Amino acid sequence: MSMGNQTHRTGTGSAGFSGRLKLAGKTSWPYLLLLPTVALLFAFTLYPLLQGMWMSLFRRGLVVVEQLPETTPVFVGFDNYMQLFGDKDFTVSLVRTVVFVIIAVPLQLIASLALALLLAPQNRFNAVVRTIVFFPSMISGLIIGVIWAWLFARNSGLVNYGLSLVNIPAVPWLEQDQLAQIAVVVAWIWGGAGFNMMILIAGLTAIPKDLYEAAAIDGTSRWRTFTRITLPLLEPSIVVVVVLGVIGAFQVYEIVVSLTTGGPGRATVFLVQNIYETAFRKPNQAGLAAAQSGILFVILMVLTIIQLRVARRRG
Amino acid sequence: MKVFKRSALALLAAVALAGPAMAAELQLLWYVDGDEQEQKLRGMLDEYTKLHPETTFDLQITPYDGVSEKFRQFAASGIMPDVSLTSSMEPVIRPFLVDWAQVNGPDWINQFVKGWADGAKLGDKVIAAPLDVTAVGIFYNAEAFEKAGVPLPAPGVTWDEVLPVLKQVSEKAGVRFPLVWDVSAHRYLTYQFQYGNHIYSEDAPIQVAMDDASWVTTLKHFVKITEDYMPPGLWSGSSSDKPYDMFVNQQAVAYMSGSWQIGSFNDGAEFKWQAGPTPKGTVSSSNVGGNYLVAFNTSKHLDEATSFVNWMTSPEVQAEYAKTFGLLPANKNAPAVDYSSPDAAAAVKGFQADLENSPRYAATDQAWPEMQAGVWDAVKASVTQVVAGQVTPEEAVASVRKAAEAAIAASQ
Repeated sequence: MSMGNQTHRTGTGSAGFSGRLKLAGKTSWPYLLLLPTVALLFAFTLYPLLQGMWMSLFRRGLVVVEQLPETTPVFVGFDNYMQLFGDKDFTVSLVRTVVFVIIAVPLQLIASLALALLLAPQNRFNAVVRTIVFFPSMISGLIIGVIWAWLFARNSGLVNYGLSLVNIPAVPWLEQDQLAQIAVVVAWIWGGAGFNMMILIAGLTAIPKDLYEAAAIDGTSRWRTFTRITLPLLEPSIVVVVVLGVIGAFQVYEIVVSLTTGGPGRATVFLVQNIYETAFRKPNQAGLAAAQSGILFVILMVLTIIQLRVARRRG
Repeated sequence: MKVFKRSALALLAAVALAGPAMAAELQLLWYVDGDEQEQKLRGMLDEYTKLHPETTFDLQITPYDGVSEKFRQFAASGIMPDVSLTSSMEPVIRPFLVDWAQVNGPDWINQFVKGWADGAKLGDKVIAAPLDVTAVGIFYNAEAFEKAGVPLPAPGVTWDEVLPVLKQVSEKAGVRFPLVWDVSAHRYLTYQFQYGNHIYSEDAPIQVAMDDASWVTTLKHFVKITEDYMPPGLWSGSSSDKPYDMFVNQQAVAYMSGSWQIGSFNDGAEFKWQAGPTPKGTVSSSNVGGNYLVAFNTSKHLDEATSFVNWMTSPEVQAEYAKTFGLLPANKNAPAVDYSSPDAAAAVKGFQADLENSPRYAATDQAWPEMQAGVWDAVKASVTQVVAGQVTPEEAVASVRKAAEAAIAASQ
């Protein structure tokens, strides 16, 4: 009896332990699977972010060399942030970037939506065109800038050559402030519209077909069907496109560098280029550049939270 | 027998250990213009290895524009090549550079062209070995002049005289533009030099030596030249038109660039060209530039690295290097260079004369360590922003002065 009890006790203990182990295994397994992603996120996103924030509190060189005292970090608190208010290059590039976001993101959304509506029906022709439209999303921003620089070159570009064939004088696409800014917007929209189109097509295909059938039976106009069915049900995809677009537009850099290098003069120097120039072209201003990056991060975070909250409330 | 065996084993072990230590593979960082130049360079390195079989090379080619970036990475990581080609010694790498005054003695630097040698000095130290010197100057499309029936400009010609001639040739010979000019602070600064303007004092202590009114007048003249004689928008700072391509494709009568183009024109230009005479303003001036070799004191093969640099900068090798790449030797004791082409030989001779006739500030201005990227950027932006109508010439010159003063303050 006692042996039986003992056996029973032992059996219960063993089952409890192995059960707990199994349970622990079950519950911890997902965390283990997440661990590599979290580790990479920490190493390449969170840590640099925190380090950048910390760096913004110092006056220091980009590279600290022991033998060069001027590169050594000196704690200055929020002086770098205060300095930015009086920094004309920073404020001008920030305002220019905000204007770029306000203009380029809605235009890209409209272009992407138009493409998605055109190319959503499944057929071979659309599949080929979709691939072509998506292609710019697979190439680097630098290459996109180079392509458009070739097209827009004033004295040797394809666009002006085309215009010359119909006796239209050469247009200074990249040499006049507003035209150069428009050129950047065009190149940026071209570069990202294909990717957004795919997100929107995915959203479109998820809309139940019977809603359209019901609308058709009711004799609803195409415009009304679009505004009352398509747009509301596509809103989650549109939010994703807008959030990604705003983040991308605030960070516009590679396209500009290879398209206009920030010119004419400084007419297309946006915030990220200004951060780069502060960090890499001016001596010992890495803290100031980090402060600019900090402000960019806060702007993006606030805008993203607002967009997501608005979308959630509407949903 | 046992003792003999042990001795033999010890000897073998010593040889095995000493062998790899004696062989040195030097890591070289270099920039070149194209594959042909890379092959020529590899040829010279092979020649060195034949003379010094214990030294081989791991050649890393990098774009010229990427050298500064590489240097910062080196400084951050502490991992450096053994030797690098460079045209400026970034502050972040200066503590890691071999002091040639210690290696070869304080007088060693005096065998090099003075203006460029001054740029290698940092106080009592000599932190770089001059490899070649370059001069800014003009190239003409001689064929276009012939076609137009206009004689090429004579020595001593001024900008005011030459510009209408270039326009005349452009119209008569059907060449698209009278003039193209490299969009570079270094090349523009030459124009300021030609009107007696410069940024810094020629002698220590360093001071900003700008005559702002004269700078403004000269800048206005330059902007007018960009408007009346160059491809529209070339100097706006955003043009994708390439002056070099336009000249070699015979779309421009004249090209303001520099002596480093000689080799490329000699190899590839499909028309008759001539270097100089470079027009003058109120004075004749070029702009002294060039390349240095630097060795890093972090090298595991410091002796081999310094030997290689000494070989490359020795008079005979300098002559060979200059001949191979169509450059001007930095070493004053280099024997007369036997350039294979008479055009190249004449061009080199002309540019050397331009350097000799230049005022001292054409060398000292950029030799100051204070002439950092910030100053160069401000010089270039001063033109592009005026051309784009974003600032007045007065504001542009004020921004150059501000950057120059900030650079002095930062260095102190």
